[in-house]
Amino acid sequence: MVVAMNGAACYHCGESVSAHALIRADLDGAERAFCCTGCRAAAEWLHQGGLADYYTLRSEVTGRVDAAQDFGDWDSAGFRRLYVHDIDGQSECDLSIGNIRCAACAWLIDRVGRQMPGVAAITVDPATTHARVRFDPARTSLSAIAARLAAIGYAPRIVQDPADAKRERRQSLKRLAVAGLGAMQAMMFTEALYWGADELDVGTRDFFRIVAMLVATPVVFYSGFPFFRGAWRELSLRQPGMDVLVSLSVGLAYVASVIETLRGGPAVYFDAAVMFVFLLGAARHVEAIARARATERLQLIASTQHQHADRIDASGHASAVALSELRHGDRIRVASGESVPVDGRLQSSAARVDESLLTGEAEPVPRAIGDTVLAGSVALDTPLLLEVTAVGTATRLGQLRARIGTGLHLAAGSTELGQRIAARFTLAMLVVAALTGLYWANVDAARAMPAVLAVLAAACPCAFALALPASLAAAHSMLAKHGVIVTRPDALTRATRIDRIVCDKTGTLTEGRPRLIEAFSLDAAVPRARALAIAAALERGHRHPLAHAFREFDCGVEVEAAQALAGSGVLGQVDGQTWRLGRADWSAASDGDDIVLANAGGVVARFRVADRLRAEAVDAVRDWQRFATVEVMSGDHPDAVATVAGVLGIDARGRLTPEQKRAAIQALRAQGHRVLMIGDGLNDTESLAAADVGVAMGGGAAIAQCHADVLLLRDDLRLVRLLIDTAQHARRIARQNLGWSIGYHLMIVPFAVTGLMSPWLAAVGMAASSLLVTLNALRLRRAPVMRVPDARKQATEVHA
Amino acid sequence: MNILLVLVPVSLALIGLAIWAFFWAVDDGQFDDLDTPGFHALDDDKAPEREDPQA
Repeated sequence: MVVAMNGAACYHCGESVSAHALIRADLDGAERAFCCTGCRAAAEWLHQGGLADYYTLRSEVTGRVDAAQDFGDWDSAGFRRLYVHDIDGQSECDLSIGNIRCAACAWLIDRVGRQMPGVAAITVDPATTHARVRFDPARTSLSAIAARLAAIGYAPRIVQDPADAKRERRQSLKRLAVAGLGAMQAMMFTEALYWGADELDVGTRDFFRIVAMLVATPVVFYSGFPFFRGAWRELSLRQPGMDVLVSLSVGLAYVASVIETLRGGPAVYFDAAVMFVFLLGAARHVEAIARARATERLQLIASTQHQHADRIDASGHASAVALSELRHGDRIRVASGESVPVDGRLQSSAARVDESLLTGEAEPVPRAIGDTVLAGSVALDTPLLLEVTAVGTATRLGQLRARIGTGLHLAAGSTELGQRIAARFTLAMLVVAALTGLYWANVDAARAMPAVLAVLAAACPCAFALALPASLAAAHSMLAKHGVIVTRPDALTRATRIDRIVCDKTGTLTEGRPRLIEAFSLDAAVPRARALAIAAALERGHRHPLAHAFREFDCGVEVEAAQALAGSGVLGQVDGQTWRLGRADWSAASDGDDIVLANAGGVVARFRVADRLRAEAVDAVRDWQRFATVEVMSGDHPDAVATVAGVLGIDARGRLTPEQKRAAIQALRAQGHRVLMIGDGLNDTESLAAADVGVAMGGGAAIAQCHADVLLLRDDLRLVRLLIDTAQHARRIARQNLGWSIGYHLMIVPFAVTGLMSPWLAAVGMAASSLLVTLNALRLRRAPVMRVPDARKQATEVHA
Repeated sequence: MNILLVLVPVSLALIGLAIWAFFWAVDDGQFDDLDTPGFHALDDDKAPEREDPQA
């Protein structure tokens, strides 16, 4: 949900546009406003190409179109060797496409592909953002396809083929289909035995039994294979859990039925075995798909980073090589705007890099010749020439990742409540079944087998085993529908008792992007709008955060000899005059915090630029305060943090290093608090992993997302409340389900032990009980309605 | 009841057929993306025109 300021939003990306923005276009008779020229170009191109339907089909708006990116090196021989495969004379390449929000995006990209000459197909999976491009290398080039996608706002990145995940998903679907069809058939044949049990002659009865066995066998061994595999793993780890229980029930019911069929005994239980496999398989499939898609998406994002580099050989020739081929002492080139793949010593001229991924500081950092540039930082205005000093896990970034990895490993050691109960339940039921068998064997040998089977059928923990997975599956799929992806299975359990919420500031509570708040013209000859247009022209093409603030005012003023001066500002020639835009002491030798536009005659205009609170932040924080203490921890200047905290009415801690943040969270946990941390940058990664529940904003750094428990695909803070509410609701339902299934078993097992209940009646009870538990869990799918904040009331601006 | 000897094998054969068809559809990628194809029904009948390669 994107909210518009003053009722105006960019027609293409939905970003709010101030009322005096100048970028407009006439589309099919209606005038539309845009946030930047890139979005306008995209919308115009879509309208001309007859693809305007996209705007009516989409359910979520896309991201904005970023400044033109150069894909020239995507056609180089080295690049082709690394990422492009040739199949039947055509080339194939795997991409991850940025800004895919809904199925309409995938539709649009498919259409765009069909319009381009030489492109056979672009197949997009909107859930994971993976796309496979198939094209004719003789008629088009990969760079042309990439540039076209980027031009309409879908910047592609190279990724590895996620074939394994897809194969697993298909396999799981096949197992489920066999289980479903097989279960229905087996039910049908065994049902016939129940209804006509007394009238059937022995021949017909055995015929039905053999047919049911034929149908049940593939269900048990093919569809049920994951349970047996899981049971084997649990046993080899000496931690018997749900899979052991399930395998035992299915295995015993199947083996007993086969024995009964062969010896012509009183009853068979194929239906119980297959129904169990089907119901449990379905619940697990839904839950696993919801989670697997999320992790797949993250893995895809993670695999996009730094896979190749441009190595410069002795003759000065550049070629793309895989990162694994880089050695200490190699020289590589990093284009401006790209992130540095290795730690290296700067050899080219002094440059500015953005280390926000590592330190959280948005301010660009100057680096001189001989300085070390760290992996993960972004080259800002000039290309870098680096001598490699560390690669892969030896880089600072790699060490950080390894540290986070070990933290996670420790946290995963705790076992789940359900697992422990299941293990005890299994043991208890096996003992009861054995005792029953022993008793009846001594009292009345003919009744021993039916009694044991009735106990096992009655104890068959279908409802019990379904109780947790069914509620988890329903909760996961409901949350996923609202853009909340839970990546760790136990995160929901831990989200139920949160009493502390810790937020990062920039990018989490605020939008993380400076915006223009005020503009004054001080020179009558240059009106405000003109001053903004000149400022926008000067900032055009620059990547530092300030440039964002002026982008929406760019109306195509020509600028010559534009250049950026590190840490000061930009200058260039417009209409034959030299203009400077930047810090007051540099551009006009005056003072103040404002951004100043000046020419030879002195100050022309002053602009005030600041980060802004998210539209929903005030509402969301007030909502959290009903059940938790909210606090902001940031690496920024304490005054800036205090201003934000003041507006929201929460505690603040400023100028914290990532290590201090992590320590603060660990201290809170040591005091017995349950901490939920919300963050977006790499500097938050350690604290996200340290908190009970780490929530990463979808717009943030990929590495933060990979180490969070929960990922918000939409940058909407109110989703945190949805997460907590759903977790609590899921826990309530899981408890009801567990209560029911335990109560049911306690009630029914005595009848089975005493031989009063026939095995088939126990099986029917089992099925009804499972159905009840499943339907109860489905109640979770009804989501609470979220209130939509009124953006106009809450356009709270803060200096940051 | 002899008719069962015909009907039951027939039903088993149909099941086999259904499972084979489903496996084929899964391997064909028809279940990989369940959202986007819905949009193709809303398309105009004519395919979008290819751009002029010279353009």
